[in-house]
Amino acid sequence: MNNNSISIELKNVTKNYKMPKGEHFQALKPLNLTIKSGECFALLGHNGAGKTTIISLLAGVNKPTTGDVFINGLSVTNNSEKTKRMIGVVQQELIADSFFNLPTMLSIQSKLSGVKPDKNWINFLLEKLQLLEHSKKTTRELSGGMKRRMMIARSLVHKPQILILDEPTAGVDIQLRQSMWKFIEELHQNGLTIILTTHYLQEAEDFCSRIAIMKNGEIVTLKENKELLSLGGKHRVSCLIEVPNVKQWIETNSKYLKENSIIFESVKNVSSSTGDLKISINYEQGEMSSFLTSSRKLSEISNKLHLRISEIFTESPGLEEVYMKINDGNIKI
Amino acid sequence: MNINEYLNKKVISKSWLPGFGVFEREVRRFFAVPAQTILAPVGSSIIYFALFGLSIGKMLSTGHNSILTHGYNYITFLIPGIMAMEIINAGIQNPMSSIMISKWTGTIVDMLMAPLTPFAMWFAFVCGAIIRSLIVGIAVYFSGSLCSGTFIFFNPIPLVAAIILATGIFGSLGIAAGAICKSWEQIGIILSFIIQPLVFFSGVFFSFNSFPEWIQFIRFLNPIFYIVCMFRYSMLGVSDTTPLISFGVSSIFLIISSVIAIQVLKSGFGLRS
Ligand SMILES: Nc1ncnc2c1ncn2[C@@H]1O[C@H](COP(=O)(O)OP(=O)(O)OP(=O)(O)O)[C@@H](O)[C@H]1O
Ligand SMILES: [Mg+2]
Repeated sequence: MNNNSISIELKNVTKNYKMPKGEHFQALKPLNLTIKSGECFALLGHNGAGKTTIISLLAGVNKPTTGDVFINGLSVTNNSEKTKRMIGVVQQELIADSFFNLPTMLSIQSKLSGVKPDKNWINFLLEKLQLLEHSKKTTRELSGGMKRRMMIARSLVHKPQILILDEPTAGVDIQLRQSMWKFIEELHQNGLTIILTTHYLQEAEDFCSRIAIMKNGEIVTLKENKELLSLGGKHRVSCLIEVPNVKQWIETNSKYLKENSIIFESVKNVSSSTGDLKISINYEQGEMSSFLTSSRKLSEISNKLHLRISEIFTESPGLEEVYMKINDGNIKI
Repeated sequence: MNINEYLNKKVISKSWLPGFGVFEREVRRFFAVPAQTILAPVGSSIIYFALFGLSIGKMLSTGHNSILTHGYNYITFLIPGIMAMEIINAGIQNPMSSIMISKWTGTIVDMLMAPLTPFAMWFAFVCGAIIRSLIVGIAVYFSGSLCSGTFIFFNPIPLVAAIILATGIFGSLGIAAGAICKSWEQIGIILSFIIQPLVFFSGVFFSFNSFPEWIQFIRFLNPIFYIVCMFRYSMLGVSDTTPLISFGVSSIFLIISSVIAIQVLKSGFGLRS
């Protein structure tokens, strides 16, 4: 697969939902988005931000109010019979016909997607998702986490080129979540384009190369994973210290600390028994010498000021931190 | 085999498969609840045969009253009528309840995500309904014949055509109603206040000719009248109107109802948001 070809394109897409009394609710504001073939793309955002709405437009379930969506260059509005075959969607809602056992359900799903059921592939999927031992159960008899894995099996049964995962791991236990991600990673390595929405931001951070953050129907940030993480701030070496009077201590020492590039903040959120104040110093991520220099400096300063240190640690900005800052408007993009 | 080999193995895709998938799902669905979809109509038809056949039926088919049954023994006369009625019910209910349940549970999304044309979706739902109609029809035929004590001869070609036309018309209306209706209450209203009166004023229980002159105009508005005529003609060789008219008018009703259903599916009304 050509890695530079465009897999998904949204052009000036908006989506209004009809409300009772003839009113409209704009779930998506004018939106442009391009996702490349083979990319692993994360779509994040608060509840009701519009993630599932975008997915429903990609899947051809709902139609955009204006604009159009293209899958591999084909318009979803005009060529939905073709584009629908290219996509597999793991829906957010755990839904499936309750009358059938897993293999039958998957076989029907394959037909619905226009593909002759391949028994071996179905078995392989069930095995990979650790559902084989539950094959005889009807979907109604599965637990929540099993249903979630069933949704993944369903979305892959017709071997789509694009896999859309709408909160695929909600309710799945830690062990299975890891094996699920291993499987999704394998699919990605085999050329599948992956679009992920999740509220477990670590998953997006670990697996996706580009991340979009939505807020009230708009994409407010769209960046490479690393670039987005760097917005959260630098990596730091920090220690918690105990001082008798925080305010007074800061007044006395702030000038000296600032001169030495030491960042300080009083700690209210961290359990107060471990310290009153956090002092930190930045270092360059991935550079040992920078880390050592910064650590040494912190040590010198604490010696000089006779600090009582209760804890020493490093901090790296995670996606969660960046996400919170963007959502609170603390980072302007 | 590892994942790479599986993914590289080309899929066999066919454009008719999604429609077939819907059809298979429909058929499996009603087979999964046979008490409701097959036994219930058979049970109620046996009640009709027993109730009317054993009591007032005897009076209806003799002397002056034989105009009501074209001169036939009442149960024999009733069999095509009840078959038509149960087939119409099966035809409308199969897609209607399937679509309603899918909307309720959210599985309608599977249908909307499938690469299906509105025509293919309509065709699949109607074919599913036809299978149910055939089974219900055969079961009613046998239970009626057992009640009357004789197996009536029938002409299979017009009978199958009648079953297909009846299910086509009411299956299409069932699809449209299933998509449009927002609640089971609305479905109930359609069944009780539209379908049921049409059934009772169609000649299921006795010849429409026995109704007073001033009410005869209803037959022209009522597709079920022509359907009952088709069934009775195919099985008894008599009916309230000529076979050509009943097949012709039913075909027109089929075209109208299927165009409505396909348009509703195409618009996504009640299905997409
Ligand atoms: N069918 C619908 N009819 C009317 N409004 C809808 C419909 N579906 C979604 N909405 C509204 O559109 C907005 C976006 O919803 P959407 O489901 O896309 O959010 P989301 O980002 O997926 O949220 P979550 O994280 O909770 O899944 C919400 O305000 C929601 O109430
Ligand atoms: Mg959602």
